[in-house]
Amino acid sequence: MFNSNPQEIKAFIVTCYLIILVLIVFVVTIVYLYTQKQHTYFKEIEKIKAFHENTILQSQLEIQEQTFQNISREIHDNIGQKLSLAKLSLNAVGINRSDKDNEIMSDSVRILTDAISDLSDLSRSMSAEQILHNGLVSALEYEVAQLRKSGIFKATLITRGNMLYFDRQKELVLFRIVQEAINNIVKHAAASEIFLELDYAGEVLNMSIKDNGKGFFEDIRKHAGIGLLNMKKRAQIIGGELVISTSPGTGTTLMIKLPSQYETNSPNQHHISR
Amino acid sequence: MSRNFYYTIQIAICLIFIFSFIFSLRTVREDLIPSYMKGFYWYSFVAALIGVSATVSIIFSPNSSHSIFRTINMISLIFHFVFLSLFIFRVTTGFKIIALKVSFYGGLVILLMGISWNIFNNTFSFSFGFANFLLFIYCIYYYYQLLSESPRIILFKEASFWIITGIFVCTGLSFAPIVFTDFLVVNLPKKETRYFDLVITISYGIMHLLFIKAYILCLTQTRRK
Repeated sequence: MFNSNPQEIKAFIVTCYLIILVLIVFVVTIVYLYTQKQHTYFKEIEKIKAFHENTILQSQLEIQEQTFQNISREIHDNIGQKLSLAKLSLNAVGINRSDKDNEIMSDSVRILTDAISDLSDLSRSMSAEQILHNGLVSALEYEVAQLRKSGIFKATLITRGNMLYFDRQKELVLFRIVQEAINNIVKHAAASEIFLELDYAGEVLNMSIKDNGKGFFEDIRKHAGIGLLNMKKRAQIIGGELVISTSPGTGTTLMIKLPSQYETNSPNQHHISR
Repeated sequence: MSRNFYYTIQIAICLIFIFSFIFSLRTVREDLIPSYMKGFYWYSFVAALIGVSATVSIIFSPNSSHSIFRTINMISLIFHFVFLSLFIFRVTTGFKIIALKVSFYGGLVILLMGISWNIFNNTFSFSFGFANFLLFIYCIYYYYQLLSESPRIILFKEASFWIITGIFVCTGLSFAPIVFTDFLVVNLPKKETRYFDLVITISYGIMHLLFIKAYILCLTQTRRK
């Protein structure tokens, strides 16, 4: 095989190098294939995780909606009725009373009237009926009217572009997001103005909820709110995207972008601008 | 090839063996290292012992036939084969595969007979070639299993990957020179057999370098924990 020939020894060395090369190529190929497989695997895991999260959140939303419906119905059919009955009974009390009693009586009737009105508003706000029957814009108009009625906030709703009619369930989720945002503003923002805008730009709905409140630091936003995170996830579930921009002293803006790839414009679409 | 160059390489590889042993010692008292790495320092210890004795023997008595050393080397081959095979089986599910189980026990019997035959005939190739061939197959099984299971681990951060890659490169690279050693020793002048000797030594050096990498990984991961 080898006869002390330098050429043959060189050939042997070259063969050794080739073997090293083959071994290295083999290991590199294994690593490459493994990394590719790992990449696909992690992607798959992420997908499953996101799917599970969505399923859980959807279930939560359904349960929440069901609870809202039950409470709303209970307020309307039971508590509201009883309060109305109590008001009627008070009104039917005989007229031979002292002035002081009359004053107490009329105060009680007024308080009951307020309570019935508040409960009616609450019931309407919780109910999905409004969204399912009248649509998102109508429901938001009602919310804005309620805010104005409180006398604490100057609330404005602006709608631009050709209105798109989304799936009612999507509109319901959007409406709940807005409700939660308004709730946050009322509780934490110390704002005096709330500004809602629905911009139907082509096939996309850009919704913004602005306030002139105290705002907050980005860091707090990152570490705080399950509420904010939930709003983002809800927006994701309906195929939208929610972005929050804020800084101390400049108020907070919540932007929701919802494409309407599966929706069609209503046949009697109209331009709304207020 | 000059004698000085040959000796320098031998000493360098011997130093790698010693470094590998020193690094392995740092894992002795670590409880948080992966379970398959526990006790692995014994391999580096034996390798360093054999490596130092071989280098001393090559440098200080270059003309002797090294028959005692050759016998020790042959016996250490059993340790080399059993230890590394069991390591691979511990990392993989090798022992659950009947063919691999049979190959290990059958291989061990053949290896014992081959070593006896080699010692009596003052030869080398069969037992070393056979042991390395089996180890090479076990390494390929490891890679096969790596690709067929869920890829949960990060390969470069896994000590077992570096160790088995070390074994794979060593056995793959040294297989051909080892198989032909007996033939070459008879047919080539001593000066020229050094080439083949060096390839074998370097392949073991690469293996121990990758072992050092595995030890370092274990130690850094333990510190993080």
